[in-house]
Amino acid sequence: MRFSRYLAILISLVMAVALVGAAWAQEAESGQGEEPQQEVAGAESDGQGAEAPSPAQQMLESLPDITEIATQASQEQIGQGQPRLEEQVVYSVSPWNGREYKGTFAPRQVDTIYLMANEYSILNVQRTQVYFWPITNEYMADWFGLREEVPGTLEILRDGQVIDTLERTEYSYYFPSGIGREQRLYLGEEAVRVYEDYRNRLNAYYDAVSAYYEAHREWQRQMDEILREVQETGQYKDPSEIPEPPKQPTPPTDFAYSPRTAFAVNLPEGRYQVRLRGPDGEIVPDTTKTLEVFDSRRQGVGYLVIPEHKWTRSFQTNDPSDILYLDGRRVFYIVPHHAREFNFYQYVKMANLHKPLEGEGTRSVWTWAQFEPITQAKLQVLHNGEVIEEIALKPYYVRQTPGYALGYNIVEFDPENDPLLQGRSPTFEAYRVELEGDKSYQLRFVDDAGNVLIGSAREVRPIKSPGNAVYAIPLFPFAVGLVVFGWRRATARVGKGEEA
Amino acid sequence: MIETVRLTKKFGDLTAVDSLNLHVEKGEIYGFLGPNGAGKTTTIMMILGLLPPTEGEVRLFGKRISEDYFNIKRRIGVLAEVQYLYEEMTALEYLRFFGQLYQVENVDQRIKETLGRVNLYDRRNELLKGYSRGMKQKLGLARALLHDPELLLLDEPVSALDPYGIKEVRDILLEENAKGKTILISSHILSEVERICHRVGIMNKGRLLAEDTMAELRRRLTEEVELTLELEEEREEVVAALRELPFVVGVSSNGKQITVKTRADQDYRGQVSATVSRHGGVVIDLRRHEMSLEEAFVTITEKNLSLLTKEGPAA
Amino acid sequence: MSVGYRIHAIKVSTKREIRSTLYGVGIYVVLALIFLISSYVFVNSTLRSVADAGIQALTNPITSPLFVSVGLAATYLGLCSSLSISRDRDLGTMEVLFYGPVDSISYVLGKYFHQLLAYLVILVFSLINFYAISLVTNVGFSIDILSIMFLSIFLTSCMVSFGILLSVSTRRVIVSVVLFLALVLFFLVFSMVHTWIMSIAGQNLTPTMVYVRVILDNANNFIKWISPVDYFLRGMSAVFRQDPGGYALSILSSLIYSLVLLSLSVGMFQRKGVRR
Ligand SMILES: Nc1ncnc2c1ncn2[C@@H]1O[C@H](COP(=O)(O)OP(=O)(O)OP(=O)(O)O)[C@@H](O)[C@H]1O
Ligand SMILES: [Mg+2]
Repeated sequence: MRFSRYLAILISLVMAVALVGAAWAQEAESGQGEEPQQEVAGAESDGQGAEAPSPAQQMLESLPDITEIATQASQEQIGQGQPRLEEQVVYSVSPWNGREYKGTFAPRQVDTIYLMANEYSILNVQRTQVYFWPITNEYMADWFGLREEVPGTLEILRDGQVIDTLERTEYSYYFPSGIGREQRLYLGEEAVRVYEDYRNRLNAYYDAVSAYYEAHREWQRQMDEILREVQETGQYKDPSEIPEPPKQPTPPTDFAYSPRTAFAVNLPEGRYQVRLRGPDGEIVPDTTKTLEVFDSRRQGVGYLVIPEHKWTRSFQTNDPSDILYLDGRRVFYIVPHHAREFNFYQYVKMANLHKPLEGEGTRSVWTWAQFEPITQAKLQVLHNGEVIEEIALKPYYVRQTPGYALGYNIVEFDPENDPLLQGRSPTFEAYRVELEGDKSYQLRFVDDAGNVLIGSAREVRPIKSPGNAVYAIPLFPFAVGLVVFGWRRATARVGKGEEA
Repeated sequence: MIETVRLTKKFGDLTAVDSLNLHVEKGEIYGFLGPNGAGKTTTIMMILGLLPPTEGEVRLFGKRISEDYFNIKRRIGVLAEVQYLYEEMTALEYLRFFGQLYQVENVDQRIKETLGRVNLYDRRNELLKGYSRGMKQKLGLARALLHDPELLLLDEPVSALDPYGIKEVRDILLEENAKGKTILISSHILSEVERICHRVGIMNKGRLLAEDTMAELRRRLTEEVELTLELEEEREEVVAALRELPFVVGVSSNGKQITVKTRADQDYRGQVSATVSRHGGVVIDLRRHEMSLEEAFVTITEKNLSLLTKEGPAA
Repeated sequence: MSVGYRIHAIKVSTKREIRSTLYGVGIYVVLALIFLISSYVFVNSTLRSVADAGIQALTNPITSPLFVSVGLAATYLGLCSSLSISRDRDLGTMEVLFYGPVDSISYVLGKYFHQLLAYLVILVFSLINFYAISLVTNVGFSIDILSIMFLSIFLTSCMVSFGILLSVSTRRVIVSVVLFLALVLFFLVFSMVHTWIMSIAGQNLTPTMVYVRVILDNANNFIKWISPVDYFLRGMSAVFRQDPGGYALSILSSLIYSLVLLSLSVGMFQRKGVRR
């Protein structure tokens, strides 16, 4: 998928931020840095109060928006001079899909915008250059070439009546455990606060890195000293006299986007209209669109099931009516998450407005979308309606073991007791289920208050293989037929048959 | 009981039944006669409402059938020309089914009676696919009688029966008639109906040619004789002269062939022959057709039809 | 009243026909064959795939053999009904009924209820068969299966009405049989292709494939109203979703479908008359 490719670019951008920061600190400390960097370093060390932004901040604030990442036309495409180039007023849309914010935009040619009900999504009205790329059947924009916010207020209409008017607000995406994992949206002052908090920690980290190299150099000097002393005196030092090396600071594991402004839309299920009213009081041309806000058909809990014997062959079960069948295998891991079932067409259209063909012809299809992972709940194992075990979420590590039959071994991730795991991170966090015997069980998740999570129950049944004996069952009607035939022959005959 | 008004059925160009006005009175046994293809079965099917008439209408018990479909159908017993049975059923099951369909009270008792009357009770547990044609016809009659209907429509009810069977059926019909049943029997064998019918209608090519009491029909059969002459060559004046003769009832000619109907009180062949010669004709063949009762009773055909009706054979 | 007479006629003729069906060997042989086929499907799809995977999540795996057997049984009965009226007419046995208190409505409905009743008998056998299979394989026998079995009565109702309509509207037995099989096959293949195309909805398709999908989807919007299979599939999906409204709707629409087809059949029958 294109988006994941851009996501990778984004991640590398963020890593570049950290690396550049670290390199800069190192060079600054070593004194071999070039002039401009020295100057920047000066500005930075001059104090936090200074207006000039740090390089980290510059980097953060020049990051493109999600929509821009997803729909930016490449330079070579633009260079080819597409005939369908057109300057347009478009809606750029970052819809929430349950796990993350996606990026798309609705060009003039697309009439309907799809959003998930009761969740915040980001809408913006911007002027840009739009290209149609017939080979892949998609619209792309040259955001880097032209991106101009169209001023105004967003009117939301239902049945022709304006029901809400929105002003642009600041928003920031926040990733508490780094990009690619949980994503949150902050609005207004909170967005600014979250971002500034992150930026300050990032700056503090750079400072800590500078301090680290400083301390490291000092430690190196002390060590050289000690070494020389030892060489000169020929006397070894007591280990307690040898100074500890300084600890390397750890970078922040979270990430926050610098705030931008756009319309944050959160509506109940229904069909609406949106339009932008400019500062002059007129509706901005090409900004009237249908807004289809859809809700899920069902809610539930999805399981990612990781079989112990084939841990890379994990599979997903979302439907509560699914039954987990076991044939000989009794150990597996469950990674649960909330799930909601949506109409496939609406769900796909929502994030692919710029691809008119995407999802066409799928109005009759339904799909389960993953929502946030479940981490706080307990997994209950029931047998004959009685809870026989309660399992908690734990981290696990897959260790390659050459001698072992499977070629690997899944162990609980416990670096304190297992020195081999130190410095590593767990492969996955899951609920480990080990079942005994040929019995049937029921699994379900309960929250802290003991309430069963809706749609979280699954039946587990060991399957029996009766072999060819199973083909004996269908012969039953045949046997009945024979009996009836015999009885009929005995009571009703053809030809001569005297009866009392 | 049965009344048809200008009842007509056309199959494409063929008019199978042509403006038929039929009256069957309550309590009578009506013989419905005609050669093959006369339109008897077609008429009966129209009376039953199984064939929609092209024109005209049918009244049963004074009503059109659509006015009171189920009650009218329940008061009729039908024996069709061909027996269509459920071959995988036994006679008992077959009659029980119809007994239930007509809501006959005391079905089993009633089945025993009717099946006994046609001498099939002993074979009640046999599958119908093993029944002979005559047995099937008798079973059909049992079915028609089962619900004790007021009106019986029987289409050639004895066509497959042996003489003993015919007598048996005749007795049953007389018995039923004595209980007040109205019966319509179609046949092309006069002897089948001759002894029991009060009235007969004779049909050919869709038209009712005669409707009379049996006595009148018999009188006509015995009072008239048909002569067929063949002349050497066609002569108009011969036909005209024959018509003038006092004992001649009717003449029709077809080229060299002349059919002359005379009274049956004596043999007029000589006088006919003499008349022909007198007018320059040469008789090369002369035959006398006396429709003996036996002949007529064996079967009614297009040929001997003219003896039974006032009109000559249709051209 | 004629309604009472009609009901009586339907009752009596249905009784006779169901008895003759049960006394025949055909239905038992067909059932045994159908069950053998569905067991074969079950062993070679579900049991094998669970054995291969070691652990697998499946939604009511017994529904796939059940679907096969229900589909085949309903098709068989539909076929019987597409045969029955033309055969009855050819044999002349139809005519005999019309000598007596049977009219076209009660005749057609008698045929309909006969097949439906035959299906109930089949359902009893199916219940025994699939319960036994679920016992020996331990796949479980849920309420859902019972719901689907109940639902299948209405699939059969649609199929039978469909067969009856074909039977009264064609002149020759062979034509109605071939037409029935061809149409049912078409409906089945169509919904299989449609389901398959929809199941790969998440994958990137070429624009041509997307257009094919759009055409199929639009065709489906039309066909889902005339295909008996579709009514059943919708009801089945409602069962899996635990959606009683959708389930009831599927039953209701199947009933309306049957009613419409049966009324058409009666009309057609009256126009053609009893005698050929
Ligand atoms: N369904 C039909 N289609 C075309 N012609 C028909 C049909 N049924 C009857 N006929 C024609 O109508 C005429 C009358 O037939 P019908 O069966 O009524 O004669 P019938 O008097 O019963 O003869 P039979 O004594 O041989 O039984 C015949 O010429 C026959 O060929
Ligand atoms: Mg006849």
